Amino acid sequence: MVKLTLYLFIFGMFVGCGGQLQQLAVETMENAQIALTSANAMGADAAAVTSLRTAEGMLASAGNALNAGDAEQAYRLALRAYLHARIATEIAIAVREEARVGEAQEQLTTSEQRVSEALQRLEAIKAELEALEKL
Amino acid sequence: MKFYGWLLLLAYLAVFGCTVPEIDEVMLATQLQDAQQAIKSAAELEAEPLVPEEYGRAVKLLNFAHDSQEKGDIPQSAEFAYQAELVAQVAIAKARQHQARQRVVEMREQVYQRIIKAQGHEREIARIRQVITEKQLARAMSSHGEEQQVTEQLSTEIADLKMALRQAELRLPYTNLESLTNAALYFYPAIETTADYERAQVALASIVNLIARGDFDEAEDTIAKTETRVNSLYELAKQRHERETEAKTRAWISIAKVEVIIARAQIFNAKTHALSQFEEANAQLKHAMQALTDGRYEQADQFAQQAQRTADETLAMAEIKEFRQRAQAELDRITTQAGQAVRTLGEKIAGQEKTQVPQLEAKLYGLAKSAHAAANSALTAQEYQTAIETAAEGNDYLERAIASTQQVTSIKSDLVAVAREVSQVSEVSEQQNSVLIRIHGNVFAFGSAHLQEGFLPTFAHLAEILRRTTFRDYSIRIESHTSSLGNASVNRRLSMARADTVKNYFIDPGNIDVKRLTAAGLGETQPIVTEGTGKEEQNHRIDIIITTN
Repeated sequence: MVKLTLYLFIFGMFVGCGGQLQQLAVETMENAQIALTSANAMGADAAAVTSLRTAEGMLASAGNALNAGDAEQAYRLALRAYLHARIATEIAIAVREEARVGEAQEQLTTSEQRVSEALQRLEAIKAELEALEKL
Repeated sequence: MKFYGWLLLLAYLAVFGCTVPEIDEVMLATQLQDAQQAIKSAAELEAEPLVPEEYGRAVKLLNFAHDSQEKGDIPQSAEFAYQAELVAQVAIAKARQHQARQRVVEMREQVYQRIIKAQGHEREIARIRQVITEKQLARAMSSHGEEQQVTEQLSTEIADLKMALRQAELRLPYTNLESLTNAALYFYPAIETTADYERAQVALASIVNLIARGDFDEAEDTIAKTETRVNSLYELAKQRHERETEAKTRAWISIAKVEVIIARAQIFNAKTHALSQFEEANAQLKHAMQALTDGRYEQADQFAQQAQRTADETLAMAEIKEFRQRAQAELDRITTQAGQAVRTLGEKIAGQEKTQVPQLEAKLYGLAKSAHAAANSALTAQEYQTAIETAAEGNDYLERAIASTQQVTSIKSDLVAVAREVSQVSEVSEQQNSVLIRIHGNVFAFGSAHLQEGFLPTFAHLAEILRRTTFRDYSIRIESHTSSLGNASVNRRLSMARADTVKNYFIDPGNIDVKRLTAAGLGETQPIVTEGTGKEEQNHRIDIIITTN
């Protein structure tokens, strides 16, 4: 608690009256960074490279805006970076799920072949039975 | 969509020209269209029922964009529209995930149905095979010519077929158990190392053996017992899969948080202010990342939390030390600045001491000196900010004094220069606070106070100069002096009348404001030459004194 108060005091001294907006921008940038880390972990680097790079670029621009003292612009850019990182994450997950559809399709084809083969053998033995009954 | 947006913009510019508000409006229209299109695409993927939160948010943002547009707030409207488009894209990706998962579930169901169908066919094949064999046996038995050996062979075949049929019947629940075990492995691969999985595998192998050797009752019992075990295994795998996913996400988030804190600590020069803590936090982060890579998610989270605590401490220390360092640097800067300001002002004041400034702008110069003294006192009292501000005030006074002096000096020089060009003016000189214009000669006829016609152009020219904007704020004193010839009293009266004549000439036709003019007849009381020939002519004069300060 004491540490937190100290943080706030020092932060307040540094940023002055525009502190609230600056803090919001910093928090949004942190969230965007977390979203980017998640996107990378989900494999967005391969599956959603455009969104990922856009998010990285916007986060970098947000940092520059914050350094230049434009907290409002930093907040807007960080929010955009966060949304692009979310898109990258969700696309990567979607690509992974769609790959599983392909695997399931292969299994289905194999099982259909098994049914078809069994049916052929069934028809053959039925024919054999009919032939026997006719004798 | 974006291509058409830009095309629309270019077409718009071509028709209506290129002004900023028009660009904004066209870009906004494009952005709104993009957002609308993204929401439409999301709706086509059934995002509304599948991911209502994201879809609803995108729609809301688009509504906000339209509201802002109606209020004329174009930048805000464009921002909302852009966010709506991005959120709609999130909704699209999530809807794709839902649909893919749904398709996988449907396909697995179909695979399962196919397996059951194939097994049904196999069972039917076994049953028909049994019927055929029985028929063959019956036929053989009814046939007199058949041998006993054939009958025995067919009996054996029937027994085999009955066994095959029973095997096919038992394989169906076995397949179910096998599928469920595989599903458990699919959900949570690490389950392979558990005792439960091993026991399930042993039981499944045992069932296969029992079926193969025809121990069907035992196989049935084992299947019944294994069902409970495999169901538990499947539930366990699902739970562990969910727990693992949660742990993985938690670890990611914890690691990302640490990365952010470490990055901030770097901004505050943590490497300088808290090196050991900084290195420790980095090492812990490295452990956490290694654990994450190895799939030890709980441990990764623990390491990351540890790293977060260390990074927090590092950041706090770095911030405090950095703040102190900056505060000290600021104090050093302000101390130097204050000393410099006071010293510079003192030097500047001393530099002006022997110029005209102290005389011409005595008040401002005095204020500057007082300010310097006050700034010096503030410096001694370590009130650095006050010292800087007071020195700045003093500097301001001094600058104003210098500027004013320079202006007056410059105006005086100008006046001297132009007055020297006037004909019949015998002397023009710069005095401390004024400019003197002196005219000798027969300005007036002997004993008269009427201006001689020959001097009228001279006074007209002087009046024109003194009316000029540059000189119009200055007062003008006209002094008339006579020689010592004649009666002193008469001379004084005559000189008074002559001074008034010049004054009146300056008023009309000279058109100089009367308030600026004073006239004095001084007779013979202020001679400028007291000895030598021609002294009377020298003393007989008109002096026009223009006070500049």
